[in-house]
Amino acid sequence: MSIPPQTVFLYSCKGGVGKSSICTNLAYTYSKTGIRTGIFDADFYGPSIPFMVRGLEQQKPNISRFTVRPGLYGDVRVNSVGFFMDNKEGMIWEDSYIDGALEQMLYSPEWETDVMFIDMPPGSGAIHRSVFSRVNGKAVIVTTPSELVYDVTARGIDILDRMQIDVIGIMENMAYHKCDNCKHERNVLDSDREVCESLGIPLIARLPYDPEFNVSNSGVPYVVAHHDTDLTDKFQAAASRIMANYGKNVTMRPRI
Amino acid sequence: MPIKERLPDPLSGIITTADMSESLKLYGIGPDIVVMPLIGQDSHIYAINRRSQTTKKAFIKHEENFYVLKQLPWYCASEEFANYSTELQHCFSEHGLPVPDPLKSLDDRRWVKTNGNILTLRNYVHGIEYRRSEEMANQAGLELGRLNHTTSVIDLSRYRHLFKEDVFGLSRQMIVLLNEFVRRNIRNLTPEDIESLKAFSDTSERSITNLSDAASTHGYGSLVIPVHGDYNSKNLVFSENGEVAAVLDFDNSSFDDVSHDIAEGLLNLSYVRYSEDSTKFDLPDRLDVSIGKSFLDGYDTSNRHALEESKSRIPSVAAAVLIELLTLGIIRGDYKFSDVKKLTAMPEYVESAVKEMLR
Repeated sequence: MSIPPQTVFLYSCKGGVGKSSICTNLAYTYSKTGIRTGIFDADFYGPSIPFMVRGLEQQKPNISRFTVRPGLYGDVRVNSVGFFMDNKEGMIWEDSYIDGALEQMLYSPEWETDVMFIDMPPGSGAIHRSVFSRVNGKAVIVTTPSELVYDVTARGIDILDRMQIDVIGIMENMAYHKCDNCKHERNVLDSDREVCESLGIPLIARLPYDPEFNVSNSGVPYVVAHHDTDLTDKFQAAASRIMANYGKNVTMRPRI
Repeated sequence: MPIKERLPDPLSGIITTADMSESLKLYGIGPDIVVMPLIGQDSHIYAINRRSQTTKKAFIKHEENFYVLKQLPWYCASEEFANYSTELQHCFSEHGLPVPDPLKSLDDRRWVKTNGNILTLRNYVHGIEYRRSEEMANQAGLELGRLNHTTSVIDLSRYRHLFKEDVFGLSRQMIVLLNEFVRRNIRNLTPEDIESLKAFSDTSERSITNLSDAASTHGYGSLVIPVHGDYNSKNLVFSENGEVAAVLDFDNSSFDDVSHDIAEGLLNLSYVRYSEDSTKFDLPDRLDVSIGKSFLDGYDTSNRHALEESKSRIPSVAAAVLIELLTLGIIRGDYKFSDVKKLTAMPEYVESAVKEMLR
């Protein structure tokens, strides 16, 4: 298996918190520094990574015998079942087929990357059992600040603990809104409880609710389309903190 | 809650894990298997349920071996047919033809029955798809000729009364299905759609009768053999050097005139086009004469007798096969209803183009 030891699982027990967006933007933040980076979209039930990177397509994934090699989107190697399914076409994924698809797309191909991001589906099931038991990596939990999500996140941390997956920290998405005029930061959701305090996990970053980030239909990740914004800085800082957990000291300044 | 007429089938297109385990157990394979749901070639990759809407298949890895487990589709899912088609494939394989041998189960049959479904297992053959080249068409013709020729030394006559078909009857059946399709969907169709579909149906019915008469006068039915019945590019696997590595899918096999296979192979390789994802027909344009001739040359090399004997009826049979394929494409939604007018004229064109090619 050619998955690098520097593998980050982007995980949330609850859906709709922006996990895939954060996964994509973290990956492209790394790739901008010249680090060979990969994304595996393990969310078979709602694969959204292809939508987010489609504007950067250089080479589609390709199949040789039964091995599905990742495609190249910008400088990032990407694999997702979303590339191979019609937008309106569903598939009931039985466990044996999930194991097989993971074998074809994740475990068998030569990834040729130094850092890998795996966008995990929400909840816990066959995909989690397989990926967490076969891939060495650490988890970054994505959450949004609300009482409901806290409880679900706590359950997610318990699952990771049972699967013996180290948690690097939490990225709190849609945490606040910054006024364009007065720059005042205001919490968006109904809770101001500090999620990390309550769960005893380091806070990697708090990300604002930014329509340009959260509603991007261009097929180009935010950090590729934008430079030197508060948000790109936050992603660089988060990327550095995450990499420090792998004993790597990487300066997250993009290549010119 | 009202009971539905038909149970929902959310697993449409795939063999369930339960059926798979049960079937493989009957072959003595497993339980440690990997089932691969993604198939295709190069950058054309599909989920298995998309490629297998009528035929359920599973690509399986066990230890270092790759297998294909296949469920017989509803239209041929009988024990008699399973016996016939697996025996035919086994005979071809034994005679050195590139037909994968259906593997034997632990109870010494070449198929198994699980939860009422009949399944077969064979080794997976790795290769490439047909690329519409003269060389590949020639090889496809050559192998079909060998296949048809080999049936003369195989005695499967005991099945003949069970699986006797004729190509014109098959085309007529498809028109009946089209009429039924129109009747069921009449509320969703515009008056123009209904008119063009009815014109297609009426014209096709008349054509089939005329084509059948013409074929009869040219000896249709004088050389009846077990035909493949669906000799198309999707059922052929080629090796890197362009030879046929495998002829697959005998689900449409029947006893029919040899011209059925020749005409179908000729049309499928030189005329029928597939959409980019290979699952649907595209609108055909002109018959590719050089490809068609290469196919016939290949056939002539291995089975001159059958080609000479059936040559004069191939144009009529080809037109009837085309009617069947076009009608299937309409029902399946491959073609827009606005294209149906164009489709109506195609069989006549094909009949004369094939006649010209064979001259």
